[in-house]
Amino acid sequence: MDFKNKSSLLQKYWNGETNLEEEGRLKKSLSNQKEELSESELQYFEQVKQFSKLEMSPAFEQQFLSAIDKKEGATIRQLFFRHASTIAASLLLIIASMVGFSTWSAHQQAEELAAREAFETAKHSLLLMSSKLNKGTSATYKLSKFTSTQQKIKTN
Amino acid sequence: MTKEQFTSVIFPLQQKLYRYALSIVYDTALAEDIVQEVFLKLWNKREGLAAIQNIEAWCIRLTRNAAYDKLKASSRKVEQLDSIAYSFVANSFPDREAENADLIQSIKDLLQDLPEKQQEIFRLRELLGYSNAEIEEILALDRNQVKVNLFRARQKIKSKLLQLINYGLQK
Repeated sequence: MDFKNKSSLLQKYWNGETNLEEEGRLKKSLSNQKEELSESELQYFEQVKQFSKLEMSPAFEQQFLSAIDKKEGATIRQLFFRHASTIAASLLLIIASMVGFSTWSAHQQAEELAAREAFETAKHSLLLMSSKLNKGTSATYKLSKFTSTQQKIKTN
Repeated sequence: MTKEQFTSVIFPLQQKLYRYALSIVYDTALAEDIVQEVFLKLWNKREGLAAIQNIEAWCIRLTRNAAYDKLKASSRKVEQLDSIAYSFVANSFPDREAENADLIQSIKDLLQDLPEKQQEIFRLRELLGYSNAEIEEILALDRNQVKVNLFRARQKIKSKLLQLINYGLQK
């Protein structure tokens, strides 16, 4: 690349008008002909280039894969324990419900029995009272009849 | 997505994601942690990855979010794989580490005065080598915004370089 081309490409670069291909050509030419650039410009392109080469540890991939393998094993165990605990909790809930229901049912039956007994007692008392009242009514009727007859005799 | 598919599709992005994270947090260990975290997220969502149209753009967005979350978090501790001990082999080249630290600091100096959008575009274009069209998709910007911000970013960097020539100062 000649000086003129390189200068115009550099100008285009700073104006943000170059495409990736032109930038590639520009950066490639910089390593061959450094005269046209200021030291800071050279340093800038060199730093960008060096930064683009930075890499993380090559062991990352292997370590990550073995870590997720371990994690998968852990997850399966966790799933088993999670499900086991869910089943245990469900069983506990069912048993507790059954016990609760039977207790409640027995309590309910006892209450019903007591209420029925109370009802029968009250009914018996009321019947007794009713028969006594009926006896009283009959006697009162006879007495009133006797009084009215006595009145009639007195009048005649 | 099977483990083999994950290895063939996601792992080639590893270095790009690392450099991207590094250009945000400027810390190699933290950048590695971020990539690890992003990969874990991807692995946990591997069933749904096939439905994603542009997985690379999606990974870049995940990395950016993770990196900014890390910057916001006061603690530098990273979530580990449950209780599994997980550590990288320490870099056994201290001189290279020092060189890299200088390089990272220089990139930080270049970027720190740029507005966030210009920084993002600069990272994707200069450091990761994405085209304007790809940047549009990753950052959800229109063509004009990408072009204008790239122009402004480069102009600011150019004037900064000129200052260096004139004054021989870093800032």
